[in-house]
Order: sequence, then structure tokens, then C-alpha cells
Amino acid sequence: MQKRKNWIYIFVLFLTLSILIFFLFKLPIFQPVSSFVQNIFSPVQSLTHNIFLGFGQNKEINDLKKQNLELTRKIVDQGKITSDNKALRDQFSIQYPKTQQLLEARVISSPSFIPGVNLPETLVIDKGEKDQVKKGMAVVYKDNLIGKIQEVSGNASKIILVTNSNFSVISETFQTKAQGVVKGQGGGELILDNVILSQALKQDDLVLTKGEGDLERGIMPSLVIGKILSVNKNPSDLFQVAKVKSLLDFSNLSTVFVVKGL
Amino acid sequence: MKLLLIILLFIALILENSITTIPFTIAILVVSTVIFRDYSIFLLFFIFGIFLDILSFSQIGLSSLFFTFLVFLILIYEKKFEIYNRYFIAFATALSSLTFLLLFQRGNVIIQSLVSMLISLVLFEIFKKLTKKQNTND
Repeated sequence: MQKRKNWIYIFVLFLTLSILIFFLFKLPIFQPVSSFVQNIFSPVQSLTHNIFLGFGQNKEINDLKKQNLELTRKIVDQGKITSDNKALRDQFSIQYPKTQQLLEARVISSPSFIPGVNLPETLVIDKGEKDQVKKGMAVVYKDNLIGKIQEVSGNASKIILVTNSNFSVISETFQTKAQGVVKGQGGGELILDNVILSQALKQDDLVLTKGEGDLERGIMPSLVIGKILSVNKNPSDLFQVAKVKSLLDFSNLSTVFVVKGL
Repeated sequence: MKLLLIILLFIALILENSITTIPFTIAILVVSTVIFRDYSIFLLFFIFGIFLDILSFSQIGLSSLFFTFLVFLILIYEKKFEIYNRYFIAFATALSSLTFLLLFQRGNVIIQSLVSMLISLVLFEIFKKLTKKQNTND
């Protein structure tokens, strides 16, 4: 009985401490403590993540995927050159997004990822407030949109991936210029929704961002979101929907780039 | 034994925050509470709860609160149930992992709870053998 009474005292003590910590850590003065702990664990997390990525990867497949991304980038660049002011673009060969806007970041963890069971929904990177990373900034790999910054702490940030069910972005297709909203569905799936029936959607057409947000943070236009897999067009519906597949393998990303400003 | 427990907890912390969301910490918590049944478990899991929240960008203190409740629940019922057996370990781990995963809005709760349950059973057998060995040596 005495022992049980002691358990209750200890329980009440730690319960109070937990509640205290819960409220205290909401204050900004405790931010350095979180940053300090994240700083200590960040290299180990990154190492574990990279070691894990190394397992079971086929080099040939990876090379082909890289080539595929490179070719897609070239197609988009080509399209931009022909549709925009050709003379101007011929004079200044531009890299998109501009390198001075990009902040390189290492992926240190993919929290909701279970290999062989599901795909990552979020990623944690080693850049935070100290590197001027802000909530809402776009994150890219080459010219492919990965997601946007959801949470920021001193030295790390959490990215919500395009495939996350809480993600949505205004977009348009590359060839037919159909406009809609790309929504993450979870489990690595994406849809292009809210496309009016009069607009054309084509299988294998690329889906690009339309651009949203303000000057400091936001998603710039013409970033590749993915490729249309199939189109679901029903005359009785208000909108047509297309299944989209991202060209990136989010589980294999080890370096990404935060876009600082539009 | 306690050192082994701390090492295991650090490994679990790193794994849970780099490659997966399987609640290894819960599995270790249930097993260590049943094996050790002392006050230090409260402190240990209170501290690791804070680390877990900081690294997983959750609200700091939430995991500690959950762990404190869980340790207390296991300890308070040790007189009512026979807790030193694999059935209790499996049941307690599966149920608490499920609650933890739902509370923190993680996906694949069933599979992750089952994996966590299996880990706890393996850990329980290891700790049981180690305790027996230690008692024989004493």
C-alpha cells in the first residue's frame, strides 16, 4: 500500500513537471534549448538517414532517374524559351530557379516514413531560422517542387511534401495550359483537381506550379510538380480530375534546396 | 542493465527521428517498467520524452506526459494483474503504441503497433534472460 502511495506521489510530480514543460517550451526564451538538442543530434540523425538510404539502392536505376529529371528540366526550359520572349532568353541563358535564391540543405530525417510500407510525407532539413528559412518557402530539387516549409526552429525545418494530404498548390499543365489545384493524397499520390471541363488534360503532360505567395516566401511559377498519369472526366461533374505522379523519389532525397524569395 | 536500457533508448530516439515512426520508445518503456519497477523509470522516460518531442517537432512535453501516464498505469495495476509475462507485454505495448500513434497523428497505426509489439516481446525475453543471469551471479 505504501509503495502504491509512493507511485502516486512520483506520478503527480512528473505529471506536474510535464505540464510545466509543455507550457514553458511555448515561450521563445526556451527556443535555444531545442536548437541545442537538435544541433547535437542532427549529425547522428543525418548519418543514420544517409546510411539507411544507401541500402538496397540500384545505381543504374538512380542514374536513369537522374537522367530523366534532367531531360524533363530541359523540356520545360525549352518550352519557356519558345513561348516567352525568345530573343531575350537567347541572350541570357538563365538557370531556373536562380542559384542565388537557393539555400542548400541536408535531409536529416523523414519522420513518417516506414520503408516498404509507406512513403515519406514530411522531411526534416538541417537549416532553420538562423539561415533565414521561413514558413511557407518552397523547397525544390533541380526545378522539381518537393514541398514547402511547414515548421521552423533555430537550426532545422520541417518540409510538408507535395504528396502530403495537407498540401495543395495552384498549378497549370505544360502543354494545354489547363489550370487547377494540385492536392496531395498521402501515400505518394497526387491529384490535379478543380480543372474546369472546357480545359483539356492530356496524359503524360507535365504539371507545373502557377506561382503563389508573396515576395519573401511562396512558390515560384514553372516548377515541375509531376506528370499526368490518367484523367477522370465526367460530363456531369463540375470539374475534371487527373492523377499526377511526381518525378522524384522522395525517399531517396539527401540534399534539397530552399527557395529564398520569389 | 540500466546502462543497456539508456543505450537502447538513445538508439530508439535516433531511429524514430531519422528513418521511421515505429514507436520503439513505447516498446522499451513497457518492457523496462515491467522489469525494473522503480522510480527511476519515471525520470528516464520523462527526459527521453522531451528529447523525442524536440527532435520530432512535436509540442514539447506531450510525449513526457504520455510516458508518465503509461508508466503509472502499468505500475498501479501490477497488484491487480500479473504483469511479468509476455501476454501483458504484448497487450500493453500494442495498445499504448496505438494510442501514441493516433495521438501524434502518424500513419499506418496498426502495422506500426504490431511491429512495436514484436520488438517489445524480443526485448522482454532478452531482459528476462539478463535478469536471471544477474540473479544467478549474485
